[in-house]
Amino acid sequence: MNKKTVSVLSGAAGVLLAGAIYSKVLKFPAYAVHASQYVKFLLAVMAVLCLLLIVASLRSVDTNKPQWMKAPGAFTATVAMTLVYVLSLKYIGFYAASTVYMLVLAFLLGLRRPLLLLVSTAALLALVYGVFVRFLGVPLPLGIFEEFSFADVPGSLAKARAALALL
Amino acid sequence: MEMIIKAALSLFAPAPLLAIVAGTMGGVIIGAIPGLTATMAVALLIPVTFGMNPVVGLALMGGVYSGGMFGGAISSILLSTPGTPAAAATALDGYPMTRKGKGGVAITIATVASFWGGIISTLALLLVAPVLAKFSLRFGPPENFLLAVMGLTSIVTLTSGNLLKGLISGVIGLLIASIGMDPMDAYPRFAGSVPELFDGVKDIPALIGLFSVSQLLDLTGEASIVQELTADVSTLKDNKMPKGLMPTIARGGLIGTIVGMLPGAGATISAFISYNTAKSIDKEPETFGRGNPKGVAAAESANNGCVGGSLVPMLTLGIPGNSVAACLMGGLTINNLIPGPELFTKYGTITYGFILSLFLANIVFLFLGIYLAPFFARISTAPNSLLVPAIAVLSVVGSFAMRNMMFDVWTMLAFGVGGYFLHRMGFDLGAVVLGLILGHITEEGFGGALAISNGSPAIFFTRPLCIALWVLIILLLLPAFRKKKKMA
Repeated sequence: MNKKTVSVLSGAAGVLLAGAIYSKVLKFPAYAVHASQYVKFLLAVMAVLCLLLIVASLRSVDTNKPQWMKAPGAFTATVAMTLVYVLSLKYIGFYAASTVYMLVLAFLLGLRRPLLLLVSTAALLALVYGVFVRFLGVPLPLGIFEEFSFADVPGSLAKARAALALL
Repeated sequence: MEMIIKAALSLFAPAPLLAIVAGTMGGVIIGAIPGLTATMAVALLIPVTFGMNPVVGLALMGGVYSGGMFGGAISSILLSTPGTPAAAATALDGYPMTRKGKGGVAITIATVASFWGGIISTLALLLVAPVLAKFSLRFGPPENFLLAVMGLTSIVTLTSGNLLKGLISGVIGLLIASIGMDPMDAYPRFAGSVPELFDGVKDIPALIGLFSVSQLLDLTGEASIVQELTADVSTLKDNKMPKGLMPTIARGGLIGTIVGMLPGAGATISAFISYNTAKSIDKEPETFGRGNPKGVAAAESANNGCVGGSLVPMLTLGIPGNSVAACLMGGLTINNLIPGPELFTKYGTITYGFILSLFLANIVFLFLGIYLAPFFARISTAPNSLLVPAIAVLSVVGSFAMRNMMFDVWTMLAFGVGGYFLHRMGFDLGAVVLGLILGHITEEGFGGALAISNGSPAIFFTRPLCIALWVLIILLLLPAFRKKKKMA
């Protein structure tokens, strides 16, 4: 697919999207006059611009192909790993998920300097803990580690011992 | 004058000086971290400063405000990840400079421009605050709408490729900004059954996604951010300030001061207006967006110019120019300092002490920025295989920290991946961000003005300030269209 076709298709997609949103706006309640007027105006502008884009693209002679990804393998690995990382935050918590994510993705992207990677990961997590958790009080997700509070180190150690004893 | 001297003397004690240095350094760090804004930091400091001497407490908060506004430029320039929304325009030329191995120079320019922007606006605050405050009160909804339109005209100059795609990108941003409760009828548009969307799409996760995540996906195909590193790696440490930037910086400082005074406008819009103006009047506009130092200078002088500007109506009339000024007003009122004429008479020592502390905060970050620029710049030589996961982790934390919601993290990811493909299709992510950020101001101004005029659009063309703004908009647009026509 060349750039000309991409432009024509994106223009057509814009017109369709504007139409779809317009049909939603028509279902707004009668009292929401301002809410619908503004969006209708934006949709009209969007539709006109997209139609102009289609016309201009059909006239153009740009047959170059767009470069979707520079390195498809690295791109796919990054997107997939990031999705898994965000999904896992809820279950294994921020610190464990971030450590695994940093180590695995850096390795997949070609980093072969273990010391640099370990130090950088530790430094980043320490920065996040210091600024976000200690200073700003952001409750980062801890997942299964929720019970092991950093504020109660002896209690957490006792819980860890109990968990190990169960194993 | 006697009061100003008294105030200056009160600052030269260990506690206020320490507060200014610590506040500014903290502000720079917070500003540089995506997702953390000066508003958040100042709001958190209010209870901390409660028991302090008011001069020390206010100096601490002022330092955070000034430092935070500058700090946003560091990550914006080095990683194309604006630390704060106000630094979004800085990335347009700052990041291309880093790609050329000139990250150190870009940070130096941002530091010097931020310094002068801050000094100009603080001078305005010190000398002509009451007069300026009266002027800012003449801005009503129609003028605010036209101010937002002026910001949106930047799309025309921002877009380096297909102008139609640039304009469509801006409309996409405006449409995304329309999600959530509308300002007039409070109807939750397109929110469906997702309560997190009732309040609209939050700027910070969207901004981090569009600028940071889409950029890191781009970096996966390269070894290092710096693309044109010469054999001599020491060029990275080069942080000499290029000549000929002072007119751009002075203009940006003035734009920032004036726009900063207008309630609801703020640093982001002023940075884009200043960038747009610099590009429109430059002899080589085509070099903007490709690493032109004037682009960095224009954006940074304007966003720091907002610091003093936003405090003008706050200190004189009790109307904060932006959210940070609103937090600072909280800091004043808990010390029983009620904005108004008394602040400059009865409590003059404290008020002038606070204003003078902003000068010192500017000097602190000037030294920090210039001396640390070469060290900061080295980040851009780190391998992308390390930077990509590190930026992703910071992006996740920054998005989450806004409301402590995983929803915002997913929003950030959606904008990141969507933005990446939009960019590959030739659309302009800067224009999307501009539409997104200015969408609320545009709609509020538009709706508010029509409500005043009973639905008559004549209100946008009859008020003297509106006419002046139309003239400015046309003046900004004309050169851009002429050049685009020539290029065609």
